[in-house]
Amino acid sequence: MITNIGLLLLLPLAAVILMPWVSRLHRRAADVLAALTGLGLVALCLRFIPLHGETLTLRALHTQFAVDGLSLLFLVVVNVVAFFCLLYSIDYMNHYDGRGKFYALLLLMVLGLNGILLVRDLFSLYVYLEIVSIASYVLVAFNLKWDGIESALKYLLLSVVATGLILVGVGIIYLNLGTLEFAELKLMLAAGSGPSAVFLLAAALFIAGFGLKAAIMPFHAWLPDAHPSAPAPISAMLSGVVIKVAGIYALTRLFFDIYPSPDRILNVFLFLGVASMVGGALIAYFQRDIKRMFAYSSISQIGYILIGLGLGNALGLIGALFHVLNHALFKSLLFLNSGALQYRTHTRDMNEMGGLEHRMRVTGMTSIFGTLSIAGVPPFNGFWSKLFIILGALAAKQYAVAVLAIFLSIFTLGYFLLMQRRVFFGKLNLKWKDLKEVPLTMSLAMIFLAAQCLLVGIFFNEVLRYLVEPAAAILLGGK
Amino acid sequence: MLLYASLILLVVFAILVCFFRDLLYAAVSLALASVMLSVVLFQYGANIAAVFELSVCAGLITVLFVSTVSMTKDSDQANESRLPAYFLPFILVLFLGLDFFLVKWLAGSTLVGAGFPATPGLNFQNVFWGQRMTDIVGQVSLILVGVFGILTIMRALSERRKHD
Repeated sequence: MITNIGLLLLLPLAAVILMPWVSRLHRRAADVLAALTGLGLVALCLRFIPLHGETLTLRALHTQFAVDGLSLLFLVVVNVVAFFCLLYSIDYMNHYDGRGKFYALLLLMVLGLNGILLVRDLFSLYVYLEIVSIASYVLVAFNLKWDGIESALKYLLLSVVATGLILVGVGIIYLNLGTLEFAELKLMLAAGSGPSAVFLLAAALFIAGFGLKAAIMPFHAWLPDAHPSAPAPISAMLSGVVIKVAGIYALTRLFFDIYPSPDRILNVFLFLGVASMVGGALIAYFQRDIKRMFAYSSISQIGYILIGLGLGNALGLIGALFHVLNHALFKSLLFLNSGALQYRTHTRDMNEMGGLEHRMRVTGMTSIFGTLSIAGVPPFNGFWSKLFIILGALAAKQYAVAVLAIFLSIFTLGYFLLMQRRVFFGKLNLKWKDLKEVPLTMSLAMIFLAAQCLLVGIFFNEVLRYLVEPAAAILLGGK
Repeated sequence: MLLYASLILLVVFAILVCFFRDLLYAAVSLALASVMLSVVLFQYGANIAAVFELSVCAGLITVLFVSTVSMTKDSDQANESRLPAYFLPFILVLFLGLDFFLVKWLAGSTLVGAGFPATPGLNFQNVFWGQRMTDIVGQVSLILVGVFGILTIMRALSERRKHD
């Protein structure tokens, strides 16, 4: 079981090394290798679930990797979403050349994300963060058109600032404590080693740096450009997974597991969470570009997660962690939906669409699942996580936050229903009369993700028990 | 002596990056600045950071920059405004001032007795293969990301050559 931890890194690495040769064998060979690697990674992650609550540590050749409840939740999120994105890419990539290179970069992104979740020191976390970042820049610009390259450049420039801030923060910690190991840092910070003002400066740098990676308002400028320009599976990965692991996971690990988590940091989370939740939703409402709308809505949903973390109580933390999983599922589904629409219509402008439900039934139906999930309609998964966050706000006597969260949930339903009406319902635009549903693997990926949105909602108790609660226990134990 | 020479060269190469009109020269100058920074880091005993600065910033990032720049044609060059260059000295002074006060504050509040002495006998091999084995997969992956990144961007060049 312990060796499986290493396989989470070595399996994608081996696939990447083989990819240039395999992709020359046959047009579909690269598809098979990528999909099987994705499936293998999901199987490896699922094998850890029965050991919930335990921490598995792999020590070999001067390395240390570990899986605990918190990293397991994120590992499942990363690898499940990545598998469906790989599956979807099999037909989606017919629009692009360089299929093997695309899969290699996507698998390297997954490797980097797994690395962030497995390492146990701040510097290694930084190294794997860079792998994810560099892979993301290239993948955003994969179409090599002007908008993609411009967005990738914007993403790169802001991301460089983020990693610079993080590196300075890491430097300050190392300078003062002489170690970057999570376990040693936790002990030293809890014992009050070193001056607290300096650690607060490092905390501010981490919040700004990882906040930029998580696209929290006001650090969100790169996200609304990067998401629409990227190929749909990459938008799904960025929104569903990357902003959570590179941003939310890192913040959570730092401020709940390692830092003694002072109240003022939680208040910063709460404030940034409310700003993101409100700001993201309001801007999303005015978008005509479907992927830009989803991108702004991601900022709003990240706000919910931050609010849950900022509340700091058990309900809030469980809600936040559950929303990480749920948002990854329904937002990747919605981005894959938008990719399916663009695949057939070659536009992202919602005003040019209309009545597509009659021509693209799978896309239409699955997007309804995504809409109901993101709006928090029972019994879909989004309902439960939002409910926990709102109950957490009430328990913490943050009544204004609770009311805002409920209102914004209704508002989200409003602008997503508006999207449904503009895109899928109403009179069919005549230029789409000969439109067909997208190919099989794209449809399958959307169907599986939509089914998960419903199943996680129905069996939320089991998901909480095996995935979310062990993760929340780490955070509550770290306080 | 080596430390001061490296520091001066680091600043010179970093400033030159902003003044070169040719992107290729700017990329090479940035690489040299990274090499100097790596030497400075080694001098201070920050071996881990030095290793990564040298391999990733001076090596990998430079390859990315140079290959991207080499793909651009003369006709792609935009006529840039000289205005940012005029502001540069003021911005430099501002940053140096901020830097000074930040370092002064950090030194006053934390550096006394903080940190730890550089371990004798540490060299590149020890750090790379001994202490940072955890990051070897990361390093290999970073290089692979760079290689596949370049190949992905190069698709445009091969397409253009086909059309020409």
